[in-house]
Amino acid sequence: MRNLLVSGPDYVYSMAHRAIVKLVKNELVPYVVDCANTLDVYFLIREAEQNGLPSDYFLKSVRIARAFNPYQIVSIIKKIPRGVPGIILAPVSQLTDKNEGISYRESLKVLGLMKRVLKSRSRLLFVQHIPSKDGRLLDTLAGFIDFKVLLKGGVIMGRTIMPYSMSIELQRERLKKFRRSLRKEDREYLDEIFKYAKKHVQAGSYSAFPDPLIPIFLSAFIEQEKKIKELEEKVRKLENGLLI
Amino acid sequence: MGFLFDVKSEGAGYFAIYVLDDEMKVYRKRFALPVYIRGENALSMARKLKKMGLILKYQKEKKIDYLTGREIDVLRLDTFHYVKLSRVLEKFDGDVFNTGLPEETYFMILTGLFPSAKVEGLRVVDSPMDTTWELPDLRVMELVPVGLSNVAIGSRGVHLLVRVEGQEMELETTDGREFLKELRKIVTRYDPHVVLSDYGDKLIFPVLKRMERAYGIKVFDVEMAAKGVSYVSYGTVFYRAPSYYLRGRWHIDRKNSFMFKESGLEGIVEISRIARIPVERLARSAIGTAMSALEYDAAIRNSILIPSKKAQSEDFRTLENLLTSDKGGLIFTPPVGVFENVAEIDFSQMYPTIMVKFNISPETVKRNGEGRVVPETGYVVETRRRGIIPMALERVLKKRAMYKKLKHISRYNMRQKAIKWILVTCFGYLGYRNARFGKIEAHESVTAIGRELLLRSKEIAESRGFRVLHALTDSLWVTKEGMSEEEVRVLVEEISSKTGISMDVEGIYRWIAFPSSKGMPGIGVPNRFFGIFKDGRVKIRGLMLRRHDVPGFIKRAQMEFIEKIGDSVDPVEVKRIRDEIFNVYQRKLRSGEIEVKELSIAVRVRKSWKSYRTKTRTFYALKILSDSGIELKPGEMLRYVVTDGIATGMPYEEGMEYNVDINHYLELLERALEEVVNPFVSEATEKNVGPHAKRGGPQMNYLFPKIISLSV
Repeated sequence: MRNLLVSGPDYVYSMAHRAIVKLVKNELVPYVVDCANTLDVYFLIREAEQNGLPSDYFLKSVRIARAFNPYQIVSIIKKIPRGVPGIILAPVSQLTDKNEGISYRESLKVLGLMKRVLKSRSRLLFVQHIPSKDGRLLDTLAGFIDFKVLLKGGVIMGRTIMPYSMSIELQRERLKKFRRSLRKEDREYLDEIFKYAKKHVQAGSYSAFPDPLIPIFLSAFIEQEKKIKELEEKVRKLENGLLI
Repeated sequence: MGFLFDVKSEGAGYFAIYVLDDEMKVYRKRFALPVYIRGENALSMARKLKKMGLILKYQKEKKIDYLTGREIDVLRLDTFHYVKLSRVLEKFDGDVFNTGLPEETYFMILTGLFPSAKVEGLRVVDSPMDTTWELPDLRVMELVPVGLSNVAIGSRGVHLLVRVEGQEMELETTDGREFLKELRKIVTRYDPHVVLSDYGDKLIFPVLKRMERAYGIKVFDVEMAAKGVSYVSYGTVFYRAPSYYLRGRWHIDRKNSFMFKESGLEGIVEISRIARIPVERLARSAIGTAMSALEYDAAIRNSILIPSKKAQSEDFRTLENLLTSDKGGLIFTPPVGVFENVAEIDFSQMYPTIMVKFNISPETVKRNGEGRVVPETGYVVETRRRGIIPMALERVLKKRAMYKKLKHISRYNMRQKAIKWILVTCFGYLGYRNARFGKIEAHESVTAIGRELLLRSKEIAESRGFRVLHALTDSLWVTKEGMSEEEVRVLVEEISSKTGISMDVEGIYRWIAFPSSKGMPGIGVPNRFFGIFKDGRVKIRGLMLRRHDVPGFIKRAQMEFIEKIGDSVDPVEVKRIRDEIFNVYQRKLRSGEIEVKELSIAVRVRKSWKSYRTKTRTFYALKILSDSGIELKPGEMLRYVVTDGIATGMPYEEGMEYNVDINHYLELLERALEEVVNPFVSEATEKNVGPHAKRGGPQMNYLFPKIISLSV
């Protein structure tokens, strides 16, 4: 497998995520280097499930390490065992970042190191993510480390594991189509379910289900169960009152 | 007996040591700092460096590798050119240790000196852990630019106010030569040890230094030690002004020193002693700097090598592990409403205590192996050797505990407050990507143990019949029908003894109110509450009045509301209080009785006015400032007033007249009051617990009167 550098806006990330799933499907253990928190674990899990991979198995199969500066990227790449597929997700700014106090000369040095490290590893897939303004930089980079550039585009950033409290909002997005096709008068009940989820946010967070919809639904069950009991109690009282 | 006033590196291995006895004495010492290297090319590198004259000598030595705890062979290089050598060794393709440390701190650790030490000659006679230290009589001079805010001295209309020994003088600054002569007279006469300034780093010394050079008149021996920078941290842009140090004096810019604001000179000196960081540097540094210095101290004293920072990286792990471990503290959403008789109990200094108690340190936490197992993560903590972080923290924790006992004396209270900041930040440093002794597994272990502790406490409380209303990382808010103080005390003791970490009672609330979220009515917000303890203390978290970008009078209105409620949590009464406060402030706003300062809003500048696409209030305020020659840098604070006119925001300046946008302020006032009123009256308020249930009072569905259109 030739080293590839795939770069572009958001969809490049989906490609990287799909590549990870494909590798697991082929019974390989991918080593993922996540630079600047670009991996979306929940998306990855859904993708795996759609490919018929049980989430437990999938989560055990993928190896991950995160890098926050170019030196760490190099150092982590060195840790990838020989002969296994490596996938690197990185915005180009991570390699040449002024915020990190890395000068142009330094970044060339890092790239040089990377080139050496990458050459000695086989079957390495390199997924790169580039803000449009860094296009020229990308070409230099690709030329320098001898990679073939497939795509170009913009950048997004996030954190590795989205806190459950935030992912509740994302799940709402996920159910957008479902909500849209509900009758107008029914929609508020769906919204209510998300409210219930907020009430038990610590349980959702602590349990860390691969699919955050599970704790959301469980929270809704609990709250509904509570309401039923409350109403039953009220009815009982009313009936007793009527009897007297 | 002398007082070690300061230590300053003067380059080429020379250190100036300022000792204050009857007068200031300066000792100059040349000292070679050691650096360690290892690798195939270590020897040839050493020879080369020797030839270049960068090192004095090299020799083989055995030192301890911090990750494995084993002795390793390294080459020790002694140098007079530490900074340069550190830079050169960045290119070395082997392991490099003990480079890039703050020079003065490294020197003091090796020589046993520390700032503000008691000395005889140069021999230290007390210890950094001593709690009874006292500052000698230091002469203090205050420098404050007056006239226009944000304008440096030397400009028309800006004077320099000098306060010293009860005297107060105002110096004209436009004529540089005259100004310097005048200032020199005062400085020579009073010869201050400490120069306390307002904006000295930004508005006084940059100009003063330039003037000194231009006119050849030396007043202070000014040195620019660091340039000003804007930087991003957790998504917020901050600005750090440049640092101006004075030789033989301490210059502390009160407006450029977090530590000074938090804990005054006492706090700065305390931390400077234990962390061996010169006072001027410490006053300006982020609090994490002290933590790093303490770690270096612990490492060096134990012959442990300090790795260079860029080398470390995460190890590979399964995605499953990441999913369970990449979490913070446990946070329970509180129910909306008002609750009487609620106890707040917390683990004091939970994270640092966990680190010390469970020996959490980068080198002791392993993915697998022998030792104590960390919950959730499955990591293992070595128990056979003591970690660097616990070693560094233990001393600090102990010292703070001693000061806390003397908290009623203001001086000691300041000191314990300063130490508290180290404890607050130490945890973040475990996982900080640039920290030398950072490792994500250690960081994750601390939060995992923290979650376990909180859950166990919750279970214990529940088994004793308490109801957990709210929980936040290391604190619980619990209540129980007819709860007595004794019951709470017993609960806390049981938790302390079962978990092995001491839990305290923060207090018992007469009542506590949890407001509703704005976006989701009926759902509470973590860490947003207010209440009154039985001893009369008010505690407020997360309300508008805690935010700095809220005008002062809004904060006062909220505070007044809370204080006025006192014991009356009855909805009708609460509504009456709310209306009363609203009306008073409405009247004051209209009649212009509220001072403009109280209307001003402080925000952190995020970018230059030129890069604003929409014309916001901040944009106008920045633009107006810029037109008058003041450019605020990203990260600096801007104070503006919301005005009615083309420019919707005007920079705040004392004594200026503004056409205040009263509608805007009324809306803010209404929002602020709604925030504190809603737990008492909202429909979603819990009805089965708390005052409403007991009193059986009516449930008010309270609607605010719309603001009548203001065509004044």
